[in-house]
Amino acid sequence: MFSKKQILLWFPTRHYSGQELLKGIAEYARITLDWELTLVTHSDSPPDFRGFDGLLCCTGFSLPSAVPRSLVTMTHGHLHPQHTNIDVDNRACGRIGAQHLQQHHYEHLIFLDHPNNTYAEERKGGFLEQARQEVEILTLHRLEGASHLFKARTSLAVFGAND
Amino acid sequence: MSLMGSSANPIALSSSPLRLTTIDLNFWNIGYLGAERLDTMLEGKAPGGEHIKLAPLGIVQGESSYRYHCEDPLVQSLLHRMEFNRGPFPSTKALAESQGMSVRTLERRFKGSTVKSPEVWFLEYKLKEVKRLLTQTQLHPDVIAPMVGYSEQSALATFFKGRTGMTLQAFRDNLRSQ
Repeated sequence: MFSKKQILLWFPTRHYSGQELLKGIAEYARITLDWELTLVTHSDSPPDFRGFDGLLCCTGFSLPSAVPRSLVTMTHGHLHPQHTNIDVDNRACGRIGAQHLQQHHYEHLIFLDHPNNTYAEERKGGFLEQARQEVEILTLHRLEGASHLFKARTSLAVFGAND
Repeated sequence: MSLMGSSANPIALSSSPLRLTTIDLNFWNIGYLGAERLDTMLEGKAPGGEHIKLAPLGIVQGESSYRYHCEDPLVQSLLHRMEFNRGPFPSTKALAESQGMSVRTLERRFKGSTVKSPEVWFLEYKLKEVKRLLTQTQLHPDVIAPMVGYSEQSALATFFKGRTGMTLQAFRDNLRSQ
């Protein structure tokens, strides 16, 4: 009898990113026909991996040792060198953002930072690399107290990397 | 002032009073590629350990930053106003009056930057926007109509057919069949 591959999906879907990941995976499963998907969205405790051929998860979780041999991690920072990982090119994201704002002649650029966040750090690298001009780097807290900036400058752009 | 971010939910973006410009981080493709790579591993064709960075899809233009740009700040400002004008064309005379200049001067400066009159630019922009919404979203024409300044779907349909010779549905069907 034809037996389908049992694939466990282990990531939260309450946010847009997880929902989009799920749509992409579902599309692949729809085309391949021989996948059966099980979705576990809870992040508080690891699911039971027994009986699954493969695992697709986000790397924000700390992976327990008894995971299926075939696994792919997607997005969110903590990289596992031994596993295949697919992630956003956040440096490119920063570059695209700065390029867009420059093309539209914004003279004063603010990068809204998220301290201790790997993604924000990478985006900042790309943003500064592309901007090649003075960029003010602020956190959300400092931005809220910087109303003088908005009053004084007309051609001002804020790139938020604090998601 | 301009605001932009990345990876924001399109529903949240469109429900915000000022639709934010954002960057599409390509999560759909990350999911698809992740599944494809996993399948390759299950077939024993790949050992694992690859680290792939997928480039973002690009800018999702909102109202919080300019889409069109030109060197003339006056024309830039008019383009921005027209870009997010959800009503009918305001008339060149009204635009000129709002800038404290004659129609002739305004038209000369506008054409100098865009090679078009304000009205032609506005209608062409509106058509592009309708095509974009038909192409990139599943929104019903009833929903699209007010987004591009028409209170009724029938008025939008008349505008679209007059400019393209196609109905809204035929345009969408044509894209799907390609």
